[in-house]
Amino acid sequence: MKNKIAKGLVLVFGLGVSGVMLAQDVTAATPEDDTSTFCDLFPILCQVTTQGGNGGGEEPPKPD
Amino acid sequence: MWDRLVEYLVFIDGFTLGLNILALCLYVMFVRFNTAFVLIVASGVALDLFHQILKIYLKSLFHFTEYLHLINVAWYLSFAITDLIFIAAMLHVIKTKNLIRDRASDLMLVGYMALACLQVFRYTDRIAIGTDVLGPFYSTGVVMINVTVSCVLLLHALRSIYVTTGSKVAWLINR
Repeated sequence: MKNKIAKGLVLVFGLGVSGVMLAQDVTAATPEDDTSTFCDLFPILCQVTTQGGNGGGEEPPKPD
Repeated sequence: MWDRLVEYLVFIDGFTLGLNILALCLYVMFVRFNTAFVLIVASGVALDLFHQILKIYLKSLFHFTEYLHLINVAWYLSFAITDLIFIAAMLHVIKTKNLIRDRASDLMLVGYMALACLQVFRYTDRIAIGTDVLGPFYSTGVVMINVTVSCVLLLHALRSIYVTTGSKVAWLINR
């Protein structure tokens, strides 16, 4: 029974979260331009244009 | 041709966290819960979220030009150190809990090891030595590893579902 409840929770939350994350508009230049549900739910994560870890290949400006 | 491929990879990299969560959910729902795959993918998603928050925080400090050296050190080494801690923690938990390992979760750990090495190489190249020749290799490499890991995880989850549900269907037919 507990197992079924856990699977149900995974179904509802997990697929919901992955759904809205996949619906993110990665072509938007700024968070304000992105009107997807993803940005309404996760405004902090919407400040970056990539979801990949390790900085997503971006780099800080080089020090003088 | 190469530029077009990089463009596609960068586009897919915009969705890797969502793809990883999708693979995790599908695997938990249709296959098993207590495997190394679930542990590694769930922890990897948490690590990626931490990396996102770290990246946003460090980017907010870019305008402090007098501390750019420190920000650069924090950028490369914090990603590398967290990757290495992640790998060590996963191997420890898998060993102590005696979880079932598979090739996809092993590949994810190898991917994170490669990312950690890439961060250290780039730090050495750009900050320690100052040669600055690994720039394109770094930016493309990180994206390529992220996308490869996400695709492998999703394919492994789909394959596992096919194998599990396929055997259940065969069992029902043979009853």
